[in-house]
Parts: sequence; C-alpha cells; structure tokens
Amino acid sequence: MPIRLRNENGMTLAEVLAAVAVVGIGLVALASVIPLAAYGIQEGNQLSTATFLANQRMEQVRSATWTTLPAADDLGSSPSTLTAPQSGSATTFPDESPLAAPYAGYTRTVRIRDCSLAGGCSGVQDADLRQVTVTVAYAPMTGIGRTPAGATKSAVLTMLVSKR
Amino acid sequence: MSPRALTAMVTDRRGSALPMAMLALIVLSALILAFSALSASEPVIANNQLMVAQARAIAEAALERALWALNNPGLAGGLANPLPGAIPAPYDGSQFVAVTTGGASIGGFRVIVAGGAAPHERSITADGWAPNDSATPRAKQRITVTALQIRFLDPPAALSVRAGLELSGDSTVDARADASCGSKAGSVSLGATTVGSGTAAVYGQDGNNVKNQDTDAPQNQPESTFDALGYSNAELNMLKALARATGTYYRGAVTFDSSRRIPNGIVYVDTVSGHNIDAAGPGTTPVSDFASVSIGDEAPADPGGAFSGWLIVAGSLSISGSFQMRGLVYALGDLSHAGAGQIEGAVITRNLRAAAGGSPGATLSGAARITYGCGQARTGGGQVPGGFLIKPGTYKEQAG
Repeated sequence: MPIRLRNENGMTLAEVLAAVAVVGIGLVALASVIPLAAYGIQEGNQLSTATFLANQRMEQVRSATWTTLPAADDLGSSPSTLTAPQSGSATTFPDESPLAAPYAGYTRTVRIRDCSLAGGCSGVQDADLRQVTVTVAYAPMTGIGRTPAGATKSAVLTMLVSKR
Repeated sequence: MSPRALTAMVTDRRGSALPMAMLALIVLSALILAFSALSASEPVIANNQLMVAQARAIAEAALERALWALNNPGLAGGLANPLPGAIPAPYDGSQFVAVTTGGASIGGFRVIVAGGAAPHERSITADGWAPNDSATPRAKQRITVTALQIRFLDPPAALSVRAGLELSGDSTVDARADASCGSKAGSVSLGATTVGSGTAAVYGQDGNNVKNQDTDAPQNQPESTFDALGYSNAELNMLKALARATGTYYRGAVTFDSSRRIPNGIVYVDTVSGHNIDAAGPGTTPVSDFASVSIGDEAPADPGGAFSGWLIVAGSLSISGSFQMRGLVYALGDLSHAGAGQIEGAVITRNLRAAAGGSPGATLSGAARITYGCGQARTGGGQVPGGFLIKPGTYKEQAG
C-alpha cells in the first residue's frame, strides 16, 4: 500500500486536467464580465460624445445675434416643440438627424422656446427672453447588445437667452 | 537537506501545473476586478461631465435672466434702475429657480445682482446646479460678470466743445427741432465761441428764432459743464469691444471715403497704440499717438447715403464734402467740419490737448450743419444698443 501512494504514474494528467478546469473557471468569469464592461465603456464613450456635441451646438446658439438695435434675429424660435427654430422664413438651427461622420450615430436638435408663450420660462413671460434646449440622442448599447430599434438615450442642455 | 535533494526538488516539474493554474486564476481574477472597476467608472465620469455641462448652461441661464431683468425694469420680474435698496427675489440669491424643459427638470439657479463700482455698473453672480442644489451627486458652476450700461451722455447742446468754437461761412448749428430730451442750446463751449460775419448761425431752444444769442451758444462755460460729457476708460473699452465685434474698430490715421466706406454701428477709431488716451495719468499720451480721422464724399456704406451710429475718435476728426450722418460724434481731440455735410444727432469734442497756436477746438465752415436730435444721438440712428451688456474682461467661470 505505501508503494501505491508513492507511485506518481498518471499524476501529470490529473494535474493538468485540474489546472485546465481552474483556468477554465477563470476564463468563463472573465468572459461573462466582458459584455458588461464593454457596455460601461461604450456608454461612457457615447454619453461623453453626446455631451461634447451638445456643448458645441450650445456655443453656436450662444454666439447668434439677437438684438434690438440694430434689429437682428439670428436665433429664431421654434413654432412647436417638434420644429427647428426659425427666424422669418429661415431655419436658424436645423435638425441634424443624423450628424455627419464621424458622429453618424447621433442626432442633434435645437428647440428655442419663445418665453412670451403661456407658461413662460422659469417664471418670466416676455418676448425678450427665450429658452434654448439642445438635445443629442443616441442608441445605447446594453450588456446584451443594442437596445431595440427606437430606444434612445440623450444628453440635454438648456439655457435662457435675453435679447440685447 | 543535502544539496542533491534540494536540486532535485527545485528542478522537478511534477506537481507544478496546479500551482501555476492557481496563479493564473489569481492573475485573471485581478484583471477581471480591475476591468470591472474601470468599466463601471466610465459611465459615472461621463455622467459627471454631462452634469457639469448642464450646470454651466444653467448658470448662463441665470446670467441671461439677470440681464433681462436689468434691461426690462418696467416689467414683472424686472429690476429697477437705479437698483432698489432691497434687491427683490430672486435677484438676491434667496430663491432657487428651477429650469425645466419638456416637462422635465434639468436643474436650477440662484442669482445675485448688486451695484457695481460705478452707478451704471451691476455685479452679477450666477450659480447653476444640476440636477438641483441638494441632490447627491450634484454639479455646481458659478459665473460672475460685471454688466455695464452704455451711458448716453445727454449733452446740453447740439455741439459741445471743451475748448473754443469757431463758425464761419453758411455753417449752422440748430437745436430747435427736438425738445424730447429737454431744452438744449445750439452750442456750448469751454472757451470763446466766434461766429463769422457771414450767415453762420447757432440756434438753441431759447424760445425764439433769433440766431447767435448767448442763450443759443453759451460760451466760456465752466469746466464742470463738461465733466459729465466724458466716457470712462471702462466705458471706452466696452465701446471698443462692441466695435471689434462688428468689425468697425480702427486705429491711427483713417480716411473714410469712396474707397473705404464707413459702416453703420459703433465705429471706434483708436489711438495708434490702442491704449486709451491718458490712461496712465493726465498728459501721458503723446499727441503723435492720437487717432486722425478724415471723412470725405461718399463715405457712408449705407445704401441710403447716410451713416447711422456712433463715431468715436480717440483723436482729431475732419469732415468734408457732403457727409450725412445720424447719431453721435464723440471726439477726444479737435473737430473740423467743412463742406455741405449734415449731422443729425449731437457732437461732443473733448479736446484733450490744446490746439496748436491757440486755434479753436472745433471749427465749422462752408455749409456744414449740425441738427440736434436726441433719439438719433441716443440710439445712433437705430444702431446702438442702450441696455446693460457684459463688461469686457469681467466674465469669469468658477467650478462649484
């Protein structure tokens, strides 16, 4: 009996099988984390890009002229919540759906609310104040792949603009 | 243990696979944990970035709301000018104003408006929060600015000269047509006013149509009469910034004629160096640094043939030909107005250096005409804003 316990024949195969099982457990665990991690990274990437695109558009809106003297309105206002802002017959900030490459996965809209409308803006109801809302939407990825068609997430920035 | 046994133990490979696998598992576990932690932080970082951007936009909204209130003192929610002793909410920072869009709250702001260093200045502190001022986590951004109102100098006459004045030929200064800003003289001068023997005429709103009376052209007036007719360096800087924004800022010697037309708006011709005259103290700017502006025929760019705006010259101004203008002329040096041109509005000359040889600080000759028009002078013929604007160089952003 002592001779059989000390006999090491066949031990390498058993060892290797056990090692493969242990490493396999590790790889399976790693594989299960990869989609979740990829989702986190992708979500961060998309939201950061959406924020950048929203900021970019907001800066463009902020630099638009809206003055009494001389009379100028390059800002415009949206006839409805579904319509891009217009000044006269011109669309001042058209919808970008989708944006040009490399941001083809994003849509960007600007809506400018005339604060003289019912409800006003943050307690003020006057035509010399407008509320600008920039929305950048994208199709998010989930831990099991893309969401169903139509499901979107968005970055929304809003500010007031007063007539100078 | 013998050396031989030790060597055998170290070099023997049997039984090493499992420990190696365990080691690999530990390494993989560490990688999994690190990967998970890093990937989990990415959305948090991106969301923080979005909240900061939202807070900043809302701080801008607070600033715009304050500017709206300053420029609409007569409306509900507006701020009186001059400021009341107790600033009403929300402009005292006591009220959190929620900002919503599409029925959803994005954040809110608090804003404080206070008096500035000068009577026509306002200090604005705008704090923007996302998603609100009590949530955790939350982002806060602060913007501070000084708002400045471009003062209309409201001169006491159609032509105000802080030196001597000389009129000759058929030149005319007439303030009779507009009493909307009070009773104005035709001209007012610090030194003597000399009217030539021709048909030159100065008419003020003195209740008669007799020209060149003392009430039409008060002369040898005290220095204090002209104290309120000067812009501060801060105001001049503001006007420069406005001119730069519209591409109507010039320096040194400038000629406006058919080859270089003068566009409507605030036109600022600065010193050669670009520094305000005597900014470092009285008499510190050499006359060689002063601007020199000549305006000739066909100068207005406006298709109507008349320039509308404020013409600010950090030096001397010479007008000839048939130049037509509506607005305000503000010259820090001397003025020469000859030819058949007409200015409807007001003219102010500061004459910061005595003219050589004792010559007058302003001369009108030929058929030059200045007609007082308060509205035209105040608004630059409809081209100059009159409300509060952000003073250049005062916009500061601070992270919360």
